[in-house]
Amino acid sequence: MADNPPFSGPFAPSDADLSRCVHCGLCLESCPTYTETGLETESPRGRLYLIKAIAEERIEATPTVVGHLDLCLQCRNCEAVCPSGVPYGRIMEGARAELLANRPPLAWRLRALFLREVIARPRRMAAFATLLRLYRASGLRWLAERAPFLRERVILAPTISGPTFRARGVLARPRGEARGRVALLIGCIMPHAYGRVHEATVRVLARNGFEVVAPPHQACCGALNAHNGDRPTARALARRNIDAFLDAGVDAVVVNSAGCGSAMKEYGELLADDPDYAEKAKRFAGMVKDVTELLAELPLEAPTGRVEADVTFQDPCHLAHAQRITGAPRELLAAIPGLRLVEMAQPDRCCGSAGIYSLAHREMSLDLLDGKMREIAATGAEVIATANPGCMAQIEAGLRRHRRPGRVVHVVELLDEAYR
Amino acid sequence: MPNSSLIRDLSRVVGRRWVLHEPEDLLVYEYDATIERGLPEAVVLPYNANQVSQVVRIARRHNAPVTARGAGTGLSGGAIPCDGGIVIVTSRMNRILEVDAGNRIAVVEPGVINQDITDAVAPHGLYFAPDPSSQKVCTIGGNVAENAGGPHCLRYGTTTNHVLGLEIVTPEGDLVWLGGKTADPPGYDLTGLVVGSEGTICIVTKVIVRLMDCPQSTVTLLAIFDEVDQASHAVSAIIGQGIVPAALEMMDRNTMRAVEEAVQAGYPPDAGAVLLIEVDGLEEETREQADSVRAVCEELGARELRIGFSAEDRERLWAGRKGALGALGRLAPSYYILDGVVPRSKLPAVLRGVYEACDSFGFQVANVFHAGDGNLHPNVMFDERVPGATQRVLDLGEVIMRLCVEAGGTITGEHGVGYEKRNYMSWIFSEDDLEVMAGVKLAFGATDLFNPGKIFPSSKGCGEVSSRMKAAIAKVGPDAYV
Amino acid sequence: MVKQASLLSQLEAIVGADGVRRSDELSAFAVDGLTPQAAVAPSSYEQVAEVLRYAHTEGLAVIPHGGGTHMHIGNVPGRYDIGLSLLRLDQVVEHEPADLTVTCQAGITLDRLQRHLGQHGQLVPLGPAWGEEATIGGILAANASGPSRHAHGAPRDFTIGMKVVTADGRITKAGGRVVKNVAGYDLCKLYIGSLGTLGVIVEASFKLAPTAKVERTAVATFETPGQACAFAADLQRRGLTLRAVQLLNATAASAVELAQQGLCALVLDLAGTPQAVERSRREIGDLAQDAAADLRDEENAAKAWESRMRLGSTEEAYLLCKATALPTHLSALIESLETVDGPPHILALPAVGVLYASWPRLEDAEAAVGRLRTAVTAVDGSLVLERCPLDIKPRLDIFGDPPPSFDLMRRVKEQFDPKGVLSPGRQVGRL
Repeated sequence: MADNPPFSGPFAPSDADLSRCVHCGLCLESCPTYTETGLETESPRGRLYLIKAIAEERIEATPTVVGHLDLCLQCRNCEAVCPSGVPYGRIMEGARAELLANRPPLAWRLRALFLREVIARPRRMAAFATLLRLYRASGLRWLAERAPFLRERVILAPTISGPTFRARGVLARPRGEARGRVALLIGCIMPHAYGRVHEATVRVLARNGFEVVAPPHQACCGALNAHNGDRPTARALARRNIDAFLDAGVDAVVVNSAGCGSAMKEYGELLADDPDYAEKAKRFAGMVKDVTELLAELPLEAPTGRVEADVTFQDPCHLAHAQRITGAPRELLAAIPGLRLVEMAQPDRCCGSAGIYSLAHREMSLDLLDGKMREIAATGAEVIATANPGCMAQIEAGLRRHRRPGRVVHVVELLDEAYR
Repeated sequence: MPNSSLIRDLSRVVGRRWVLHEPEDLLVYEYDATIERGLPEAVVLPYNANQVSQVVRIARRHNAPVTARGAGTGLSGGAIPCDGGIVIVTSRMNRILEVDAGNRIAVVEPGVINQDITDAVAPHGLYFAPDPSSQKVCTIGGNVAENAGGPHCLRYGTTTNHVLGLEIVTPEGDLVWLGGKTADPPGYDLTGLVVGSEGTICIVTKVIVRLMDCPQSTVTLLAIFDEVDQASHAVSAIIGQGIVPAALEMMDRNTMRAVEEAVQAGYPPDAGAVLLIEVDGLEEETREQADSVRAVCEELGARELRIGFSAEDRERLWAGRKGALGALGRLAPSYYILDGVVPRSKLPAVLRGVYEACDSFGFQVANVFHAGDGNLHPNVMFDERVPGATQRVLDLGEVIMRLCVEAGGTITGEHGVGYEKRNYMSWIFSEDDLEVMAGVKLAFGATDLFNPGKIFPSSKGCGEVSSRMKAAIAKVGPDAYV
Repeated sequence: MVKQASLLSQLEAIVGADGVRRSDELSAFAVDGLTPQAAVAPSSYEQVAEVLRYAHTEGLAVIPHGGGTHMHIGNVPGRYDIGLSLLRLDQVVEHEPADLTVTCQAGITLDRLQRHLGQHGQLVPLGPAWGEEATIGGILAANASGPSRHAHGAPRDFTIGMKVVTADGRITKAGGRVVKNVAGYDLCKLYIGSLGTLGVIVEASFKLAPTAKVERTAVATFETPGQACAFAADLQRRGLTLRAVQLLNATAASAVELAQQGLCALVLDLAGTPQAVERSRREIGDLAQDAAADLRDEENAAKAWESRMRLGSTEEAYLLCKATALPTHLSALIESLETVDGPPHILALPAVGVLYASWPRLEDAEAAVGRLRTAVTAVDGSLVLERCPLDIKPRLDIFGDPPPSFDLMRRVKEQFDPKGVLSPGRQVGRL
């Protein structure tokens, strides 16, 4: 295994992708880790150059080199500003996959193991969630977050409270004129941490004329596995989802987690070399819609209630940069009577959550979170809306960390309130 | 092995964390936005001017070359350590130290991003005028070094017209203030000398910039022409009308096609060129000037005119221009941006020459440039991976630069000479001229170790291997220095 | 030391008999009371170069002259052997109106150049006093500027190229003839304001401005300079089409009959398109009303600038200084200068932060200079004694204490003129 030339495996970033970068540097200021450190190695341009250098065997993939690649949030902000259209996300995922396949650092292996054997397995995930639920309910978290040594270390652990979303099959019948049938991605952590968001999503979709189903055999989307280099697991999960959702006979697959939606829209690429699934994956990817995207395309059912609040919106990276959706959530917020949208500075800058990044790179994650909390505080908004569970958990942690009042919600929750 | 005593000395000044010397750390400082490369021996990220001064002294003691670097977005190789040595990166010196709105000045550190100055002073109704297209990422230190320009330099001038004073570290490591906040400081205008000196005579550690009042009203016009010639004549005619627009930009057919694919700006596929003209000032003034511009363009055969008054409409008109480089980036794996200037009246002839030259070399070219200044930016599309392509593109660049010089122009309008164009310097300057410039270097105490290989013509190439470089190459492999 | 007879014959060999000035003409070349042994007026760049080569070889000191209107600026020369007149180099070299640039020889007078450009609706945005006599080369060497720098900037902002003869007699080039150029060091900046100590400017190229379609002048009067400065600052924020804003203190204003006794005057030059000027004038009128300032139109736009000439002329000015300060400090500076053995005539450019003050007579000039320096230091400004009585001038550095970068300036001078041939001693710190 050690004798393999670097990046010769099936996931290796292609020469064509890599050579797109002309190192103009226009990505630099969009990169949270570059602006934090001022180091070229922590910039998109630098990382691409390192990946290229590994591929060309100019440098070895030493632990420090791998560390630079690992510190990337994969927020893909750089991709959105790149004038040359470098597919950064694809390159980084490919590079990580290759590195994980060849003498990966222990931490990478453990992470992949955890993501594959716990997060992506519903029963184990449920058990893990129960532990986290106990941790909070028992008051242990309250203590840990006040213990000087522990505080920094535990603050980013996700909150599990409220009822778990367990429903499958047909979740809701359309109200009023029927617009179609859609399937909802249940996800891995989402039903445990934010079951209420699923409930709101189902109600809002039904209100807008959709029959909502949850195909029972669906799986975790595999985004976290792919981001962390475990392409085989990601591909296996993708195949399962494709089968489950294509069988459900729906018009669209609705996702209320931006990270998952972005990964599922890229199933076509993920399975491009799989003769059995390539075509189906492409078709499936075309059906995936973020819930805000779907709703903003409709003549939206006008809300009758009011939400009197100053709201600021945090763009999830995988919505704004990976899916390039920034208008839709704002349009929905604007449609809510009484709601005042107060934009923060750099709303599309990563909050530091980035999947399991917040656990793997706590310090960088906290630095980014602190910056984000300052921007949020400057708006004076009492409600922070976003559209991804990772961002919600991270900002909730930020509120606790800075002892600030405030409420973190998914955009559809506000819409749901306005429909009541 | 890196020079361990050098690393130790540097670490003592800036702290170990901010001295980089691992192969992978050095590798990412071997490039800028050009196709040149040069690998440093150490990269230092000082926190303040005092540390820069000490680093420069240490470099001198160790006989190590020194090259300053901002964001590394330069387009002439100015920040590339041609002879290895130490790269001083200013990214940690990024504080805006003072904003004096009443006197329209700000004092900033060199690592401050150009756009951040404008963002910081916008609440006072002010802005920093130089607007290179990399303004969202490039640093003011780099702008000063290269005397950076941008679309709006036509009316408001380049960086040199907006810098009042500088704190510098001399090649001997002394910290000195040049100029100041007030007008006409006594003695020689060393500030003006340092702006555009490409980091070859000092390292800038603080900059006093002049700010401008935001114009009350801005009007943008977009004129579409069938032929490039018509558009170039319109450029001269507008200026001839006694109008100096804030910006006057041109895009040719190839650019328009690429832009159309990328951002759907609504350019007709058979049009030859588009002019983007912006006038600003009092509302009455901009309206009157916009009317004159419109009349000139119509008279010279513009087939379509669009006009934007609101910020939104203007942004739409600019979208094509701003997305142009990106759109071109998608046409070919690599592009080579040239930067030459010709007298405005020579634009039509020189542009024709550019197309012919590119045809004869077999490269596709797209022109998107500051027509009002006569500042051409032919973008030559090529594929770096095709053997010999890079060299042929460079040869073509030389031919195009010759065209500019023969038309009475110059070899660079805003990107700088750097490494890339130093051998063209002798086309426009005599031995005597260059000797006078070399005298400036001597006066500042700069040796050949201070940003070596830049501006001055030399037979020794950046790629030619010095003994220091051989050691560096041995460390990272044979392709390290291409 | 070269004998005068041999000096004259050598020079005649270079510039021809008609290029050498007669001994009775030498007094016109006197600088700060020093008269040269000889004076020449070359008719080509090569002749200038040859004169300098000769002087360089012989170690003779040369001071270049244009119209002689600004020769009082600079320290007393350390040595002075040859006066070098550029007046015979007075041609427009190239003017392509469509390029909005011009290249001319150094000896052409400003007015002549402007007349040439004016035919094409263009101008070089220089506006120093004495344009009938002042030459382009002299203006650049002295970094002289006029009120229009408010809108167009100083000479450094629109000079795009130069030909300069070095101290050892080489014809060199700096910059070029195109409006945008970053090839090589920007030596033009160095030569502008160098007072002929680094090289002899023989040719210059400029970025031009179109002449305004409409020009108008209005004068507002105020009781104090502070009120006038505040008014000027307010105007600037509004982005009106102001080409120049000049403030005359009460003494200067009454001398040129711009204001009643005891009031200072703010002279507002408007230039631009018809409607924009109209609107600006209207807005100024409204603001003046709000500020309870008296405002009227002035036919004679040059009147304010006339006072600058009066305040700089030998008869009127015993001591003339140019002081700079941040615009927000300018009115305080005016007020403190007015207390110095006053009252002086003061003309200020409030938005630029420059003022010229002159005293027709002074009891104790040296003490007054000390008080001026204190006043300027208090506002972190600078002070240059542009005209200074010869009985005290040799004892003073007219630029005051050398700036922090003086050592670099000294080294630049040493590189450019190692033998001290060019205007020795005239620059700051007697460079």
